[in-house]
Formats: sequence, C-alpha cells, structure tokens
Amino acid sequence: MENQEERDTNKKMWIVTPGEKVPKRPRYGDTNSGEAYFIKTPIGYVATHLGVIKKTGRGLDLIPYKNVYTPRKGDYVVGVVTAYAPNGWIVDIGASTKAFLAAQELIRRQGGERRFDPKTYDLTQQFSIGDLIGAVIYDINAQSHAILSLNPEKTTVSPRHIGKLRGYFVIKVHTTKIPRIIGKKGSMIKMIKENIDGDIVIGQNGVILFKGEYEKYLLLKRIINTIISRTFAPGLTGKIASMLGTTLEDGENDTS
Amino acid sequence: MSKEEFIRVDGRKPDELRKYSINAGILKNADGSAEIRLGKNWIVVGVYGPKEHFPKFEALQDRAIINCRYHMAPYSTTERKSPKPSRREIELSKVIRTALEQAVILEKFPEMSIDIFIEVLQAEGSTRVASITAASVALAEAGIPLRDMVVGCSAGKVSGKIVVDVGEEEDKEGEADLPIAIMPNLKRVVLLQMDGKLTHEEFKEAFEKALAGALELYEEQKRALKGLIEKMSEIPSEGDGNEQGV
Repeated sequence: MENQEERDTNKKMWIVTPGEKVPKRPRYGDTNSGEAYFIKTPIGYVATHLGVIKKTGRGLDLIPYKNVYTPRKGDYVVGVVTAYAPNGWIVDIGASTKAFLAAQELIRRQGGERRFDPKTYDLTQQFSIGDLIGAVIYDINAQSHAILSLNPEKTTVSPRHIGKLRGYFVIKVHTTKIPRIIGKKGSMIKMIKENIDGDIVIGQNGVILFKGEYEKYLLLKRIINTIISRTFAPGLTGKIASMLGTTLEDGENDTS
Repeated sequence: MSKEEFIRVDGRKPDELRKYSINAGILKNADGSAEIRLGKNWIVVGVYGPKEHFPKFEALQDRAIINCRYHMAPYSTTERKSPKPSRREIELSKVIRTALEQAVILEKFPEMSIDIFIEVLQAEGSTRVASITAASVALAEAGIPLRDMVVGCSAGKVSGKIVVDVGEEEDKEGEADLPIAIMPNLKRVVLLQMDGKLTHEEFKEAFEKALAGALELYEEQKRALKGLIEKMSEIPSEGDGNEQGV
C-alpha cells in the first residue's frame, strides 16, 4: 500500500477507483466541475468516483469517468417541458430532479408589467409539452429542484438561446464530457465554431444543439463522438483540428 | 494426518477461486452496468438513478433510497425456476441492498432513489456475493459516489475441510457456508451470513479464506473499471509515471 502511494505521488496523472486512497489532501470546491470527488475517511482521503487524478499546481483534481449531474446556480441548461404546474412549467433538464420555470419569468421576458394570474393566463399558449427550452438556473430550492430563469442578470449566453428553441438538431452527451468539448479556456469549442457554419448551443446539462446544414450536423456529431471516446487522451485538440481540416497554431494543442 | 492436498469436486484446491471475469459498462441504455462470470455463474447488473423517488411519501428527507431487485432468470437453474419473486429472492434483494447501502454516499441525494437490477442468467452457487461484487462495479460505472467498493466471496466446509468460493454442489453437500462482503480499503464487513455449523477455529479459517478470495476479486473489479478509462486514453494504469505531461 505504501509503495502504491509513493508511486502515485511521483506521477502527474493516474486512474483511481472509488475507495482508493489519495496521497495527500485533495483540492476542494474549486475544481473545473465545482464538485468534490473525495471524502475524508478513517484511512485518509479517498476518491468517491472512478476517474483520472491530475496533479496540478494547486493540488489534486479528479476528472470523473461519469458523474450524476447536479444543477448549479448560473448553469445554462436545455430542457424539455414535461408538465404544467399551476403557475409555470415543469422542465426535464436531465438531472436527478425536475426543474421549474415560473410563468412570471416569461411575462417579464416579454416585457409585461402585470402579475401572473392563473385565471386569465393560458400556460398552454406559451409552451407546450415537448417544447425545447433554454434557460439559466438561478436557484436551487430546498427540495433540490432547479428554478429556471429566462431573465438572467449576468450571463454570457446569447439572448436568442434563451426561451423556446426551434429547429435544432439535438446531441445528448454525458455532462462530464462538456468541459472536454469546451476545452481549455474554450479552445476546443472556439475551433469547432470557427470551422462549422451554423448555430451551436451547449447546455451544461449535456445537451448540444445545432442549427445548420445536415452535413455539418453529421460532422459535428462525428467530432463529438471522437471527443467522447478519447476523453482522457492527450493531443485531442490536434486530432479534432485534422478532422475539421484546419491546422493549429503553436501552443494551441493541449496535451492534457 | 495426510499431507496430500484436498482436491475438491471440481478439481480446485481449497483456497482456489473459480475462473472469474468482470466487465463494466456492458449495457448501453442503463446508467451503469456490469457483468460477472464466476465459474458457471453469469450475472448482469443494471443501475438507474439517482432519480426522484416515487411515491413521494416514501422518500427520505435526508438521503436516497436504494431499490434492489435480485432476480433469477427462469433458465438460470437446471430446473425451470418460476419467474415470480421467491422468498429467497426477496431476502437476497434485502441483504444485497443493506450491504451496498454502507458504501453508497446516500446523503448526497435526499428524496431520491437508486435502482439496482440484478439478473442471474446462470447460477452455480454463491450468487449473492457475486451479485454484490458486480453491483458495486455497476454503481461505480454509473458515477454514483461510493465510499469504497464492495466485494464479496464465500467460504464453506466440505468433507471437514474449509474451502473458498463454494460451488453449487459443495453448497448442497457441504456442512456449512459463510458468504461475506467487505469494503476492502475501509476494512469493514458489510455482509456476513452463515449456514450450518462451524467451530470457532473453523469460522476463523473460513473467514480468512473468504477475505483472501474477496481481495483477489477486488483486483479484478479495479481492472474492469480502469479498463474503461484506458480505452479512452493512452494513460497507463500501471507504470513508472512521470512520462505524462499535463
């Protein structure tokens, strides 16, 4: 056991399974995903997920193989309306709990001043069951339900990607793959967007939408499948660049 | 006392496991899945969740609920087994659930539930411990947080000798059997049952043998899980390190 630990401390990356001890106190909270993948036990800190541990300047990070998507404040998500509530819509965002979108949010977005009145407001006229909606999570309530907003105050999401989304191709991936698709400081997605004409939308809940030519959609799907199947491989940006028929500038290729 | 080693009905030595293999991620549609082959045992496990628990009044405010179903296929035994859940299957579902509950960090998912479906396609003794071993791999594959893996193995007494990994025939003919499940890193026992009679010394020997068998299977569990990531990368799971740039 000691030898294993010693060997691990000398490595920069290694694979862990749940229950395996990590050599030192891991970094908490501020990981890429904002999740803690370690717990303290009587034997020390152990990993709780299957994944790859990366030693960075700031401590240990675990990139999980899979993870249960937990909605967080500020996440841009794409969901499907699944039911009507008395004062809004129930939206499936692929998390373990359903999300809620209040009708008041839509009234505010449409510039209305009045308050929501269930007697006069027809919810079915706005969103029907099965509609695709883009929204930002602005709160998580005590029952762990995500409360959605159509009027986010601080967001980088384009306004046209908020509200009802029509005419998009949908690609569903696991949420742990989203950081890899976006890449370091957005390098991967920037390159994809530059080389594929069309509108690409990425939801933090693992939904990728594309509007454009069907051939471009097939190329995008092929690229995403490559990223998924080689998530932990180094030099992935270079491979994607060759698929897109472009070249990388010096230092652009990530080796992680 | 004869120095000749005791050879079991299937030709194994007393402390030899049957041939085993574990594969993770075998089902496309389940959130997590695994299969185990232990001798002629062939068990497939699928995991779904966590998801909102239904009916709502049964949900727990502070943690998730595990729903576990251990089921033997009608063709899993030599004589057709009725597909209806038997008393034994209901009991085994319960003991497997309580063993796995110790490892899953349920507090992370209040008011939710995790479904574990265990299908025994072919049975040849010690299916409960094999099911626990496979279910734990399926849970890890589903990305559900675990304190530790759970791995099980059985030991028993056959013709007065303590043997590990009891097969079907030995289970029927033997004097006692002792299935155990452990969390190998945390060094905790999460399942311990005994059928038959063992003296204090025999119990100790049987427990030691089952423990050694479980630790051997734990290595196979790790191999199965690490294999999933190795498929996606060029990162070696074993090696001298340092060669990987970040």
